[in-house]
Amino acid sequence: MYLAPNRHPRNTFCGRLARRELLHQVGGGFTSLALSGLMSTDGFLRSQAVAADGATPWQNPLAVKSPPLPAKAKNVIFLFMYGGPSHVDTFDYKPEMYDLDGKTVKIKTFGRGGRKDGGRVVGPKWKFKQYGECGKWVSDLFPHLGGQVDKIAFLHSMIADSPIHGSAMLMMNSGSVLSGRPSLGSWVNYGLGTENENLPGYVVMLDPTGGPISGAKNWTSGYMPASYQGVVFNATGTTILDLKNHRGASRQEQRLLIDRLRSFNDRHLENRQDNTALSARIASYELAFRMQSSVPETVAFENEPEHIHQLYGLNQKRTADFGRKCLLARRLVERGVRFIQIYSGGNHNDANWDAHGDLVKNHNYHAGNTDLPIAGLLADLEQRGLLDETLIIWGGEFGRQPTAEYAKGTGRDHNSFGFTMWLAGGGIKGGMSLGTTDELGSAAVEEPLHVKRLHATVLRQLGFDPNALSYFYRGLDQRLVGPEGAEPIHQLIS
Amino acid sequence: MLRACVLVLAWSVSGLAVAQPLSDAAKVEFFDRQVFGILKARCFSCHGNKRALKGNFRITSRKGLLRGGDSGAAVNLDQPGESHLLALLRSSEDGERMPPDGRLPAAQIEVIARWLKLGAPYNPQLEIRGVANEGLPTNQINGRTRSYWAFQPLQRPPLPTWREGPLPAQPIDTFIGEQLRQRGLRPNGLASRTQWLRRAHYDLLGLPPTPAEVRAYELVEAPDAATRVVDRLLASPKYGEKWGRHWLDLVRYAETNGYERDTNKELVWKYRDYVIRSFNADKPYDRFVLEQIAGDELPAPSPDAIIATGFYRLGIWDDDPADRELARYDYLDDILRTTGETMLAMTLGCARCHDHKIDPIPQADYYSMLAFFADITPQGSGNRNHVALTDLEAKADYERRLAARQTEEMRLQKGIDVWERELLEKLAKAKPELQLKIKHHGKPQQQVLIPAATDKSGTNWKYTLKKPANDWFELAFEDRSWQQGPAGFGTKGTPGSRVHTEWKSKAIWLRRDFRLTTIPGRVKLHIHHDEDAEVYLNGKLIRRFVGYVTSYQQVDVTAECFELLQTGRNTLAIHCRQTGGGQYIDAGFIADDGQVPTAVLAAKYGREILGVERLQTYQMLVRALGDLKKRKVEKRTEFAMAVSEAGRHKTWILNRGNPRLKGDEVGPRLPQILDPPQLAIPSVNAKAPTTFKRRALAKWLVSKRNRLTARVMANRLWQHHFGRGIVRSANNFGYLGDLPTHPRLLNWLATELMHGDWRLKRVHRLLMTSRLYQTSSQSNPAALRADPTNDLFWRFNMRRLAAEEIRDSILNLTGQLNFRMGGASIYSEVPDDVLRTASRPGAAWGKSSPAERNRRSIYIFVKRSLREPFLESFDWADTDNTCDVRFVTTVPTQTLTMLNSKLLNDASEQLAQRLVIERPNDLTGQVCRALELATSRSALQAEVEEGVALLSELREQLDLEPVAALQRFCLLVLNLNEFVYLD
Repeated sequence: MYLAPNRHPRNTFCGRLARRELLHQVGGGFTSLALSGLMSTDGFLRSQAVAADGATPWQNPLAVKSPPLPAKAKNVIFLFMYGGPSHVDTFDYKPEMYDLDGKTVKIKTFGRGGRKDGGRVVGPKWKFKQYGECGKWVSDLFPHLGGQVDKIAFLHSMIADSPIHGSAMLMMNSGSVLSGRPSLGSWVNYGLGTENENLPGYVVMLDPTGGPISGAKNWTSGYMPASYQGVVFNATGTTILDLKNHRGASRQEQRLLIDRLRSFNDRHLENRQDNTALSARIASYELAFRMQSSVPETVAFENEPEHIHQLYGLNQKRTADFGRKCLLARRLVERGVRFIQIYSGGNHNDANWDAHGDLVKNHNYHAGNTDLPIAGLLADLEQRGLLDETLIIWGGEFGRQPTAEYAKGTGRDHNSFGFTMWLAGGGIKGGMSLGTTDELGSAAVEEPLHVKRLHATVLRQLGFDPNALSYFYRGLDQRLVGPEGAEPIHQLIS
Repeated sequence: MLRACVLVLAWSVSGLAVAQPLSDAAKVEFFDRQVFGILKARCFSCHGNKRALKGNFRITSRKGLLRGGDSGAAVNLDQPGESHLLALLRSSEDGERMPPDGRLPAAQIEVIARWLKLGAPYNPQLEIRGVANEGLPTNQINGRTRSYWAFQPLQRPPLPTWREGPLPAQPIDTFIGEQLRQRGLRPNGLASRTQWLRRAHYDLLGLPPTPAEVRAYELVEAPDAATRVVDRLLASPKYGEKWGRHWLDLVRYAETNGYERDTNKELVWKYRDYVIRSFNADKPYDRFVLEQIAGDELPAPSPDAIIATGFYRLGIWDDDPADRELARYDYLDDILRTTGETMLAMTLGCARCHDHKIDPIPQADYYSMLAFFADITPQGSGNRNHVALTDLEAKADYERRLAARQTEEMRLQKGIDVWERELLEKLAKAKPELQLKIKHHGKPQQQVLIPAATDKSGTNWKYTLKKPANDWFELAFEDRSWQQGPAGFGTKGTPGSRVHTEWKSKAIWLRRDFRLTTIPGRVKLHIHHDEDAEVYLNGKLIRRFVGYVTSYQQVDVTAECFELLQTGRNTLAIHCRQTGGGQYIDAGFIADDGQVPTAVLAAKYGREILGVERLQTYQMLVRALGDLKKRKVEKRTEFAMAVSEAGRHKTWILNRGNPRLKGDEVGPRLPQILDPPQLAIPSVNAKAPTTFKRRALAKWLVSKRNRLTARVMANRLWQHHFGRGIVRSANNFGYLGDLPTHPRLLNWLATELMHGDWRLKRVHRLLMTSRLYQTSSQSNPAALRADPTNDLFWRFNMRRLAAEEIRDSILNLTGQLNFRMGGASIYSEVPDDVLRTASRPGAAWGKSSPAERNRRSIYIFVKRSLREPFLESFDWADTDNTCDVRFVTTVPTQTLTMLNSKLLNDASEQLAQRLVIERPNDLTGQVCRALELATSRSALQAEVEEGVALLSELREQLDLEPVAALQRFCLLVLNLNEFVYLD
């Protein structure tokens, strides 16, 4: 195909030479830092300021990049319902199922308890009501969220490759059940950089009970440089690891130290002017110093008016924690943070949505902690005009089975054959539902949507062709959506 | 010439067609003046300059132009106006038109058209020619790929001629010098002695020289001073801790499995110690590879050879995968990719689902390579993958202890014997009436060792109806898989039978153990057989019975069994055959003891014959012997996480990598592009513990014929001394990797490694005593312009210290670094904020004592779901995939760690305390000492002044105590660029 149309953006196979060398520079010692502002004036980059094709200006990895396609969303907030909420008890309304409660049915399931061919139906444990103009049926677990359904697109036919937490978490976060791939947030960080160099571009907030299974693997940058990985934010206490000096050094004292350090480092730089890594490191002290003030400013909720506190449920014990994180997410979005992930649930067993035992108790607890704050977040983003550019994702790593896991009780095992997630904002049509599961919610029937389709949709809304955004590694152009690729869910896109 | 020029000018002005043929010279002149500029500016960058060759079309040479590209012929010299090239230049369609970034001006298109009409002449001197066969695809085995540099047989190139004065000490400098000269560049001057020493120390040990070592080196004038330093460093055990870590990066070393439970890989640290030990012992690299790939298949494998195969157990493992069959292939794939990239720098993994898209690795090669590993047992948790080590030393120790025990037993027995002889003699005299009793002692005692069946029940035997392996009757034969059932075996109604387990088939094999504490005098079989039976004892045939009987028979087999019986475990094994009619087999085994035990006599007459005291002595001896026999001589067995094989698994080409879409079956075979020899894999019987496939693979990997192994390792040695490999993509020598910047140097170095008995320390010496290793890292504007990425090595590459080097240097500076080597991993102090990110915050991390915490970073526990935060922050190697080159990132979160963390603040306090002790009451001295420790050089006047000024500012403006102020200054020192960057 010589002289053939150049259909691919430059970061695919056709452009491999330029990008490969560029990446070897990263791997081989090139500095990565969101320093474009600081660096561009000093001219240090000039000697290496072009990529290997001699034309493309060198970009620092975290410098702001504009996506190749028109973007509908600028930011993403992923509300991760870790453990796997039951879809038939939340948003996937199955009216016929109530009467089947306790009856034995033949149905194929696959969960942590292995493959089964049938079992005792556990009918939905909550009543459903219709909400909004679209008339969406929502369970009584989410009375507040019910009021927001006209902003939401429900995906009822999600499917994933694994019904086991460890690998399913990796699938939802990195597109593969195998460990070692970069997480969705890292791809966004890699593709877009960070708008605010005083804040990380990818923030993760965890449940007070602990992280999810596999911990940091869920926000890893995998084979990409560590600069793209998620940074854990605490909504209380010290926001970022080592943000505060362990000896309690004052700001004035730190300023003094950094100024003197600069003087030493400048002297060292005199004969090494061309080494941009050294100047990047000098600049990183200024950035860190600024982070120490900009981060506390970001988490300073005191100035938020009372009605905002109430909107997010900060004044109620049950909702205060998740509410703080949702409010912090909004404030991060306002400050240009691209990707924020908030975990509802942590640790193991009933500390998250993993309702193997008492479904009613478990889901009442977790939904009760999160319903109001999430509804508040949607409403607040909308009233500020931020919802249009902020894509909200809600869901767990899988759903739950229609049948009981044990001889007694309401507990449900995992289900990756069909489950519900929802999207809102960021150019997604509101008040719609896509796909179905069978009458018991055991498996996707119409329009099965693999997790990769969700990822493709996120990338597309941010302005990427999901099948073109790639990173050269191990002799291959790696993509979030894998070698087979995946199409965005076009029906959702407004 | 003048005429031609005029002519050319006339054309371009008039735009008229050529009226008459031109001379060749004029054609070239036309090309030079009119065409070349256009091609160079608009076409070359994609079609032939450097390595870019879009659409496989080369326009930089006439040959390339005439050859065309992927979409066919570019020019038609018979009808130049019809040339495809012209159509594309003139096209107005965006996706089709060339060049894609903007149409050529019409006048330029006309120039090209005329040029084609002239027959497309080129000036040979301006041509950029491609390689032979460049139009052929790179992902097939063809003339082009066979001649690719990395797949060429390894040959030692001659040294370049040297014109710049005396020949350099090391040949590598002639290769470097030659390429610099060709580009008109001169190498930098030399680095300072201190810089060189710091380089050498960090590169070999991962730690800086002490100030005393710096001073000593600056004073030495001996010409071989550098060599001596290198030898000293290579002899240090810290060398293995530095270079072992490079290897651990490649094999994705980690101590947990990842995924939901992230369970520990018990004992895997032995592999880490093995690697360190191997580097320190200067183990030849071929042996090192051989042990890791097939240590267990080497003759009489040493413990290290077994531990080395821990290589197969290092990767991620999902204990509860959604798709078990796929998970097995994922496991094998992980091994194959790691092996391919680590040993061969080939991205074999890219051919799992289809032929490699870029390199000549067909999918069949992938699965043929996979077949080498197909019989490896799956990963498991706990001790599932533990293998016992046959440690020759431990074995000798065991034998020593056993011999000592036997001596002691004999000594006791001798004492007992003397006493018993005396008893018997005296008893015989004192009670002559007993004589008879002693001799005959009534009825011999019978001990039923294996009861024959009764009507009600039968002894449980192990049995099988399928023909077992040939050694089925051996004592040690593994019969766990056999069935078990009560004797006798046969069909009901067979005369004299007592059937408790039905046996209807043609043959049966039976096994039954019994134990003996003493060797009996006589033994008998109590057997019923229908029909032929062979009876074995402890592996030997003792009696063959032919035909059938109709009732149980007692058969004395004392003579046959005399030498076979042993104390402890004995095994009776029977094979019975059937031709027709009823069938039955059962056997009992009975021991006779015809003698009255002396102990019985002693109990009865001892007091009377020998008196109380002597009886007590005797009884003491008997008790002592009894006690001694109860205590087992322990055989301590050490284990290691290692490889094992089980069963024989077929391998198929899997369509799209899907285990359910099996294609052709393949056997173990090497990548064809490397022109491998026919492998001789010995055929072993089905019960052999391993198949020796991996040994065959390993032997090929390190054979002199292998084109990649030596190149790949030589490149890595270079990489970790000079900041980058000669091939930058150290794990990928394929078409998507980088070309070697110094191909002949790489070949030379690879042959040097191979011919030097694959010893790495020798190569370190070659590299480190070169001029290049002494070269300064300083900038040079002219050289920087000509070669900004230092492809030619006109200077030494600065580097940031690796994560481990930074942490170790910090601890080293405080004087707290603990140099204890080896053993189970340690836990550094991890902040609570980080522990909270784990799903079980309380159980996420262990606790080590303060002294243990201060050990070198290579001993820190490598947990996949919770990576040590300090090391992680400084670009520690990925644990899930082989890591050939670590990233070097600079992000503000690192800076926060360096300024604010407990680790840094504690370390600066300890450094401050050290300074106060070493330079009491001497602020200036303390400042100087801190800087000297951190940078290996004496502090400058200005630095001292600034340091002292900072101290007084901190004290006066911020009211800090002197100790606290000194701590802050120490924190500054630990944050210096000069501390973490190496010149």
